[in-house]
Amino acid sequence: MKLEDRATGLLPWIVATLLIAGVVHIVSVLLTPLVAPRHAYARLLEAAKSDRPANGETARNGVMLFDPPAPGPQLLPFEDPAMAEGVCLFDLARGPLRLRADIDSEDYLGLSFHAPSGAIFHAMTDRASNKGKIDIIVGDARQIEEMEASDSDEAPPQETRLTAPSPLGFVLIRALAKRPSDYERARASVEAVSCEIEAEP
Amino acid sequence: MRAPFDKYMRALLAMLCGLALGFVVTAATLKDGYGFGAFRVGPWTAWPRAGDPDIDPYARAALARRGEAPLGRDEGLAFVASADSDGGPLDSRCDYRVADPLPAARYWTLGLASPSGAPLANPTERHGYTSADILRREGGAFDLAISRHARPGNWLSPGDANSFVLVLRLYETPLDSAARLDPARFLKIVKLGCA
Repeated sequence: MKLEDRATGLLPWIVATLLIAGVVHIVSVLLTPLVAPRHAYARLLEAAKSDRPANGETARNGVMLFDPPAPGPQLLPFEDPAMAEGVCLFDLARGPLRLRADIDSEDYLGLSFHAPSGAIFHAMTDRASNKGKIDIIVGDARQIEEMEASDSDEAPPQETRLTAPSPLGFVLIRALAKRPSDYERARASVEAVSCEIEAEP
Repeated sequence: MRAPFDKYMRALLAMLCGLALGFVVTAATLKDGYGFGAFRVGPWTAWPRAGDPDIDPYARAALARRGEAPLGRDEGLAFVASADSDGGPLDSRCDYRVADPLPAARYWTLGLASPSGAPLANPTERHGYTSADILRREGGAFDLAISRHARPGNWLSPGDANSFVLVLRLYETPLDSAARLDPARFLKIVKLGCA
């Protein structure tokens, strides 16, 4: 009888413990992307800011090229060593990002648009180019709305417009080197992509 | 006078236990994989939802914690295997044979990496093969040998690393990740023997 009493007395506390555990679990999972110290954007920003980037070459056309894959930890884990890669970091508070690329080779070129956590909000490949050209504007909801408002009816916009979920983020550019000897050529097609801050209308 | 004090202690204990339990559960769910939506074929696992704009909070947290930038679903799909087709963990002291067939894709690459996703140091300085540079038999089928010792044909070495994973990336694949795939129609990893 005494044992039973104890058990019923403890039950509310056990329920309370589990409820708190559940709330802590949900909140910590939701907060991880915001507080994780080494998420993809933080790694890339660190490489871009350092004077002699350990893993990335100085930015050209707004694109920071990754070093060729070598044994040991890379800038980002689980990247394909067969890909030449580069990245454009963006901060939409400074204006929308305009990404342009001319597709002149038959080889794979992939573009993925990421929030700082690494989550993707858009991805495309060279197959989605329009007559060999890729022209994309990334903006926040207000910037995209303003662009749409200033569109004239006669000339439809040529570019693809993407609304970013957060003001910060990055675009990863991956070009396939089909053979190890193609690496330099793949790197050149990453370098041929340009990222610039677009003046607001 | 003891009873209220006792209750405060219990409340505090419940809070601390709840806090600890919550964090332990979070750490456990983010340790391996990317939450839910794993796509398994034999020893291979892909996480199609991690590359989808419609990502779930667990996958988002797992990506952020590891600093990964996944492949977009429209770009391709990456499969990782840390075991052979019989379920035994991949061991760099052993020899393996990786063999056809593969699902359709515009390009694919197949390589070795450390379990944390870094290229491995090895004497050949080759980290993988692509669908364009792998040597094929007549008819298009191929074999890949994984061994520390030189092998003829397609050969990858894990070098001095203790453990490794195999990564298969299918670029622009029409593969339907909602379908159940027969492991017999996917790349097999056969253990040949151990040193």
